[in-house]
Amino acid sequence: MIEIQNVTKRFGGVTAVDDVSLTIAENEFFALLGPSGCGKTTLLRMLAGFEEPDSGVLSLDGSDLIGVKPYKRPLNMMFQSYALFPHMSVLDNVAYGLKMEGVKKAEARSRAAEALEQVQLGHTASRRPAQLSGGQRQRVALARALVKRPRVLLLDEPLSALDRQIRGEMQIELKRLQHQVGITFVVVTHDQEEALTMADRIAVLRDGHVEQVGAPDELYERPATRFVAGFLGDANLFPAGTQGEEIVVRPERLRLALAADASSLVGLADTRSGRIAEVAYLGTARKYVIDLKGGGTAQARVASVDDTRPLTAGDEVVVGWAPADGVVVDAGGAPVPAVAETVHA
Amino acid sequence: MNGSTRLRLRRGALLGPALVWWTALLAAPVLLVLAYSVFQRGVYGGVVYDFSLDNFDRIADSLYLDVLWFSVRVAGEATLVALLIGYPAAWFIATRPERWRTILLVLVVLPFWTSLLIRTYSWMVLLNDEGLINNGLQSLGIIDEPLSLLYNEFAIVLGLTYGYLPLMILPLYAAIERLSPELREAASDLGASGWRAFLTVTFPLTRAGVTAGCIFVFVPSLGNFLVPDLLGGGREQMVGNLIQTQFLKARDWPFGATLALAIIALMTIVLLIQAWINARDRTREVA
Amino acid sequence: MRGRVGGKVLGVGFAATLAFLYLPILVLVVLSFNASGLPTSWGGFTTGWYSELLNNDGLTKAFLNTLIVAFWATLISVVLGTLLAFGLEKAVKSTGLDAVSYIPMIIPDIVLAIALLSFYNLVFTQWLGLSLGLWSVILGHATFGIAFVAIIVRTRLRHFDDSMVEASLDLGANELRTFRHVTLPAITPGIVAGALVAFTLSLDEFVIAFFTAGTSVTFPIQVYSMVRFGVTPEINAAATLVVGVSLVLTVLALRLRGRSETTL
Repeated sequence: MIEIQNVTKRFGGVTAVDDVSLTIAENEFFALLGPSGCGKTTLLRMLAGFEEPDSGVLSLDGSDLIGVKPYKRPLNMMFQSYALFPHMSVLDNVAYGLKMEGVKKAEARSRAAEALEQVQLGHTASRRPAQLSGGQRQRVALARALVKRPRVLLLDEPLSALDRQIRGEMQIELKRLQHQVGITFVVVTHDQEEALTMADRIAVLRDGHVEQVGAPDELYERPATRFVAGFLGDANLFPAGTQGEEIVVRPERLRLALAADASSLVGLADTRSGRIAEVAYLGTARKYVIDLKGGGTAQARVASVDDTRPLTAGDEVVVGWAPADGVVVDAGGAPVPAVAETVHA
Repeated sequence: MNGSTRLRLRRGALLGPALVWWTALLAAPVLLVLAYSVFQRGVYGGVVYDFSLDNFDRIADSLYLDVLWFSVRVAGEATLVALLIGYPAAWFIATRPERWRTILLVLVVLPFWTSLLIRTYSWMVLLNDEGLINNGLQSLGIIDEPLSLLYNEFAIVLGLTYGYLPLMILPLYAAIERLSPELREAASDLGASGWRAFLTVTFPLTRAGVTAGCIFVFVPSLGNFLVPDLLGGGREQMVGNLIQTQFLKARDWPFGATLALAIIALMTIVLLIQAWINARDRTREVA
Repeated sequence: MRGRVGGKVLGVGFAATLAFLYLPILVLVVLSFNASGLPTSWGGFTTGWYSELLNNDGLTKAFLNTLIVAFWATLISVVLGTLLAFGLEKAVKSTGLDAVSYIPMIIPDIVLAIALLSFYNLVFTQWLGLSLGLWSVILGHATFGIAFVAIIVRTRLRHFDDSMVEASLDLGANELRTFRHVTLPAITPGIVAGALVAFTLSLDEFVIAFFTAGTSVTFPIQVYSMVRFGVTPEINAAATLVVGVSLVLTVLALRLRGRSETTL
């Protein structure tokens, strides 16, 4: 329902968004993921109407959004700073959008009260935003945007300002909310864990262009480029035979065995020999850092339930991966190192 | 209309009115009056546009140099006294619990916002030979004859200190508040007694506040007209009084302008010294 | 901290400083109710001097003049100062312009006074044949009033979250409605505080008025003449009133300026 076609946006000499094309489906929880400066926020703001693309097409349900003022677009945004109006009560904040639509005061207030009930904040209606906690303010901002029943809700780093603990809860809350309200959510985030947890589909952006688009498991298990592989989680990168390509193996997929028991590893596409350099006990798993013969390092993660005979530093080992677990990726123009390495998310 | 024209129009509309106002009613007048210093007084007052540096010769006359020096000295004394009173006061406020600080600051600043004229007048009442202070001291039997407290240098310094003390306290407070108590503790841990710790650690760290406070008192005191006029009684003249005389009585505007130029020059020197101290402190910090 | 004794000394010193700051003001207040009219003896409580004030035509006329001057000077200062504040805070980033906007506040008032006098004389009196009056004082007061309003409104603007404007646009309000419902309410306290400050300053201002009022008389000028050339006891009542008004206005301005400020 949202069509982004060949959209480009430049600020001075910098190209923030470079010929990006994306389609976002109806009712989808879509994430724009990437490091700061990758263009994800600019894209979101272009959808909202605060920036206009230099070239390209932006449309919602077939109608062109270009040149349409933010207050005329059926999309609403939840800002990173929440942007609640400090001089109005919580209720008036939520009712604001309705009043701007021309809804009568009484009706606007009752609908706003309802929306606040939905996010369990009915009792704060007459308070000022300054009197609420960060998490509460966020829910008010959500209610304020959703009460207008937009076609799409845009969220700019919704969880970045929250405490660690609340973040996990809110991730689930947002997902639940999206199902409940039944509209499209487009979220901008730099946190891969957030994107993986909440989104139906993710677009990974870097330097203004899309590296890969797909469902979380697709991106995680089948990354298209080294960048995507490294951004979404820890990844072992082994130089592949061909130029400019590497093989990505996730630490939890890397098989590990004592050199003496090498025969226990069957059906592997490739193996390497090495010696364990470090062991870290993580509770749910053990993390092994392996120095490989011939140079390079690899990382393996073995779940505690499977780790019947834990290895120790100094053990001679053999590592390998099943054909399905090794994904060939494009190094994306970066020089492929001669030896294996591990990149961290 | 495209984006950047719009932006320029917006800037113009916002900044334009004030800047135009200031060009016409601040820059032009000040430049004009400063320019007068190289011209001459006309026979009936007014200005005759004959270029001449006579005014500068005149100012070098010991008569006027004395007045200038007196002004600098008095302003300096007022600044020093304000610093001696203001530093402990600022320290006191900065070391109170947070919720007290705003109230105390407001209390200190409030008098500044009332008319200097009126506050100076009330010192006349207090310092008079038959004024409250003399009266009180006499009735307590401490003195027999009234002390000459008014119409002298003492009164002027007192009046200036009083007038601008709040302006000394504010930047001092800001600087002291920023200090971490650990620095003082570290100094005493290393063997410095209370006073030495203060002089070698604390005071230097608040230097920026000290210089700011001193400027805030010195500059208005230097060019002050009201306080020496009322509390000096015409006997002790500062530059401000001289300028008033030149402009409103002697009608020698060019010479008055030269005097104003002298004030500005002195002011600039003081500001440059302050900038130099701050810059030196900054490089010291880096080292 | 510095030990009990040190702390006490400091506290006593501070109390003395406060006493020093408020003593002259208190003296005036007390004197204004003193029937004897002299500081040397107490003649009983009276409000007579205040009624004398109202009968003193010179003073009441001067006071009205001062109100007129303060009103117009404040109006100009608020309009130009607010525009300037927006310009400096939101439209351009220029340390040069920032410095320029502070100049009217640090320039010694006597320099500004003689500068304006010279300028008025040259431009208005000689070219246009206008004589000095309240208008010339208004112009002078507005010149520094703009700077004070600008700095106060700027502080308020700095704490203004721009994304609120975007949020308002996003929620369906156009630019004008956004200004009315979101921007203006947020900065109005700052504008009012600035207005109060400009008004108070103009009310009390003596030096510029003295030089540029021509034959007109403002309240401070009248008080000055009375002080200089013939003290009558109504002065104490007048002084108390002026101080009272200034204090009230200043406290209002401080409350409106915002919680976190500890500067002027």
